[in-house]
Amino acid sequence: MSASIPAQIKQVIVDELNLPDQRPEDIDDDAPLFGEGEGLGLDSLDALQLAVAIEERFGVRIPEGDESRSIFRSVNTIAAFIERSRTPAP
Amino acid sequence: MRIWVTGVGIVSPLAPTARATMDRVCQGTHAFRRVTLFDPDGQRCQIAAEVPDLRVQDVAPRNQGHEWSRTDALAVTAAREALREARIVPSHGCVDLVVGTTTGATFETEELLPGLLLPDSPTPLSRAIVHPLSLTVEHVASALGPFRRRRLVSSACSTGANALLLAAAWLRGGLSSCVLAGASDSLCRLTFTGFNALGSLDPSPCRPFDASRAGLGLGEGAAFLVLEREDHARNRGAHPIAELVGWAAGAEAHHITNPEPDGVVATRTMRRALDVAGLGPDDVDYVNAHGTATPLNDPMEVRAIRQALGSAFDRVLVSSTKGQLGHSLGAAGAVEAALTALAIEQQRVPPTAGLTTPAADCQAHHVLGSSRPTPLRAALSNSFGFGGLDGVIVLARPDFAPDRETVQKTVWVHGGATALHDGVHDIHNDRWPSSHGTTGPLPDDLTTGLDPARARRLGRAERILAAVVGAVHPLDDERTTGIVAGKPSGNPDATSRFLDRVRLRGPRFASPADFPNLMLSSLAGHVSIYQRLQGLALATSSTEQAGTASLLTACELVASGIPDRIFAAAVDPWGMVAEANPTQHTEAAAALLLDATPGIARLVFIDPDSLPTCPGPSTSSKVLQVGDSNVLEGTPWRDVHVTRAEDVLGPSAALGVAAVVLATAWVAAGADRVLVLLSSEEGGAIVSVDAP
Repeated sequence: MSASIPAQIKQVIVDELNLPDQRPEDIDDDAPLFGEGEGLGLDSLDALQLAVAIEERFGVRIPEGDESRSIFRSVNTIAAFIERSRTPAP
Repeated sequence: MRIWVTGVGIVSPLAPTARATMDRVCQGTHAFRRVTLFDPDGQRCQIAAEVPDLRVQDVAPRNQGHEWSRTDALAVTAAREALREARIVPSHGCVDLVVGTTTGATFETEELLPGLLLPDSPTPLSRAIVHPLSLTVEHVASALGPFRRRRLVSSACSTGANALLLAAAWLRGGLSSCVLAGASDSLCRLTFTGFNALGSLDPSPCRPFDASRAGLGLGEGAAFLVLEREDHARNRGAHPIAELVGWAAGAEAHHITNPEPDGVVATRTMRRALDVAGLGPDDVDYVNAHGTATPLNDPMEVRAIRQALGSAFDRVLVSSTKGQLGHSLGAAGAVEAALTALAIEQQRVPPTAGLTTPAADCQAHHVLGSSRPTPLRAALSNSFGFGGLDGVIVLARPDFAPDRETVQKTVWVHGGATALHDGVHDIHNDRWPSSHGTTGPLPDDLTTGLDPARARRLGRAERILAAVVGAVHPLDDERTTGIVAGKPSGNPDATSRFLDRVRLRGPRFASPADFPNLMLSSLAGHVSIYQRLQGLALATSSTEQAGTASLLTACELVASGIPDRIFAAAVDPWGMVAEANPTQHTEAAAALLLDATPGIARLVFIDPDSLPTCPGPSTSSKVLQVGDSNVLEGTPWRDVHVTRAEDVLGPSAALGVAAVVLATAWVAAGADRVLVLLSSEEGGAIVSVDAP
């Protein structure tokens, strides 16, 4: 049985962004990922790296611009985007 | 003494010579078109400014075309033009050479890559993927030399500015009377894919400072300047194009790709460059801006120019020639300084191509459309590189700035450390290994003291060097500290991983975070960020003697009156090159803190030819030898026992710095003088490490 999507996302975050002291299970699914002093405190270079990793791992295409900012707000928003992208449009 | 620019050469996407490039730049023409050097399919941006009709085999000596890179050919073409204009033939005098590059032979290495990855490839990957940047220096020297002193400088997008800064330091410090200095970078898949991955490239021709700007446009090219002491130039009847009057460098110590938004160090670097020139904001008429057209650079730079120039800001013209030529990365600082020299000669300011509506946060006295004729007295040329490596050059009409004296400061060691297999040794350590230099990688626990969160973007070389620099001593006063970081090559391991991934998965999956770490200068960038060093920061390279190149460069900069303390630092990291030949290789790193104020030991460079007439040794004097030079015969030092540095410290390219760390430790322990015999690109050098 494979891990849940949020668990997989957290593993990608830790591996791809070289967060040696961060255990994936300690990342809060709803906490903000980016911004100084907030949540994980990731920056714009992390955002780019994470976008490439998520696209590769989950086979999705992340749009550019403001839309991507809302997708990358938290682990849960990324997971929701992945679910949405995988569900065929009605 | 004054420093005249007596020759300029430029190869650009718009024209093959300096003055033709200036004419096209002044017309506001841009050179962007779909990339033809390689296939840009699948990339978000597919345009760049390429130098047309460049055939490497036409520039390289007969039968050597296959060993030359596009970067080499660009460099030699521009350097030849500069020498021709200055009417200098290097073999007839003592001309020195500084070459800057960041991409070197990367384009050619990429051509080899698919073949190299086949399982039965005849060439080991580790051999060919290494693109020693110092090869470009050797090719310029072999085509146009001989040159006396020669050095490679790399500091990402401020490389060209720092090449000129080092040449200026040699001239101001009395080491040189004439220097050919410049920089060259060819386009390659690595930088094109990397900047695309970072989302930094505008799919349309770039528009610096414009409200609609959407990123930079890559270019390529080379520029060289002949810089000469006024008396030297006058004696041979040469005329000045402009005068090089000011220079400064600084590190933002902020982020590996993003500029510090308040422009604090950029401002300070412009002010320092004006201080060196003896000029103030009211003397400046033009700023040739870095002006990349990225969302982050342009407002930071306009803010910094405003802060540096104060009330003169509204009057001073500002333009970025990257709108015409694109961003030629390492070459840009040299190209733009050469164009600024021509702007002063021709008394006209080039426009910023692509700029029609300046953004609200980029308001300045911009030049739109075509060039503006105007009286130009002094002008700044700004360059800001990845890792926050800033460089500023000031050029002026001849005789406008005050005349300056030659500066020859004594260089002192204030601290030092080197990493060996049993840990980091500083100069107060009295337990050095006696004669068992060990080969192999350094132990992993060497870097466990680093803050894991802050060190997470550092590669192996950067981590080791950050730990060694951190071991020297806490830097707690107001003086700024800089770093010259030497390494045998770029980052072959990470570069091959990056390119291999692009080849297998496509450019869309290139790693944005890995890309900035592939540049040689990320060593200086990352260590300055981690250790918060805000002085001058640049990298140098030499396959065998990176440590010696770093030591010489740092000493020359301190001696010429650069206002920072400077670490001479070097690292020879373990990796696939070492693994291919493990018994010949020791992973090593060393850092030596140098300053012009009295410290633990004084460094004096001795010309090997003058050694026979030098004072002889005392009973406490020692000799430490790096390499195989045998210069003591026939001198008063012939009977002193010679310790081979390699036996104590292991064989590595960082030995030049590590040996002086050891020599200083011997002085701290009671030796009155230690002669360190170095071998360098230019031949032998001797540094005498003296007790105060």
